[in-house]
Amino acid sequence: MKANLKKLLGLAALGVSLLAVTVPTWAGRKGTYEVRIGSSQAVKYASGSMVGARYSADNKQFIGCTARVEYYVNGSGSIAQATCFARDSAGKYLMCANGSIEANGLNSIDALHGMTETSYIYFEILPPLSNCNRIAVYNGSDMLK
Amino acid sequence: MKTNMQKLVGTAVLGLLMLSNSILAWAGSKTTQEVEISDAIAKGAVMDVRSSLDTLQYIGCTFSKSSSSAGSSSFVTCYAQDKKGKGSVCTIDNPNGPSIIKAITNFSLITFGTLTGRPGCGYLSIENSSEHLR
Repeated sequence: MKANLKKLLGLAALGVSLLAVTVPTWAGRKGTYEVRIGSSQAVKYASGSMVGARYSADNKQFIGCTARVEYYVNGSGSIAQATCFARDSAGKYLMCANGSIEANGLNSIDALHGMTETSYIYFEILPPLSNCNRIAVYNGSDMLK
Repeated sequence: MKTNMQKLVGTAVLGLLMLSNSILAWAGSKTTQEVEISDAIAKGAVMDVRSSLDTLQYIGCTFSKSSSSAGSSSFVTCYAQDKKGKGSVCTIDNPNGPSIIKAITNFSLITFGTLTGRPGCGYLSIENSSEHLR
């Protein structure tokens, strides 16, 4: 029985070794940036990488942004809006939104154009205002899974 | 010999599974949204739709620009089909439409429809979130 267990563990280790061909290539700088929501002086901010949030150990974290266009029901025009949102491991939530009639919403929406799986997102508000004072997107190899 | 080989292969597979960080580390918040079409709205997450079990589902948007002597016009059209083959099409002639669909990636949730009650298509949203990563 003990011998069988040893054999089992030994072979399991062999399986691990067989897969480990990827290990040597998984060097390079790697950052794991889970969602962080904090404040500094007048600023409240959220940050985190897509991968850091998605593959965190808990099931609470997320971070992202939405771009949308919506016509008003009364036909008086439309709104284009960018919204960013995040929730950390403790369940704390922060969001910000920028938008205005037609073209004025464009700049914030542009921030979404560069978003990929390798993105690190930062956004901040100046309470009590909830509009996005800043949205930043960093894309780099160190954000890859 | 054959039994040993079977055991070796089986256990090697077990080893692979044990190492698979995809099983251990794929936590984080995750939502799954295959194509869902109602009277007012159609939505779906790109990766979830692509990896659905049927061969009917898709969702996406296209941008068109045309020029003529009367001037130029640009508009965005979004399409979706659910697993039963039910389809939805929505065209938006909003100047921000092209900028909105430039944000589409493989981890986007696309939502469009007549949410606001406007005839035709009055709503288009692209949500890029870690929740839609595979």
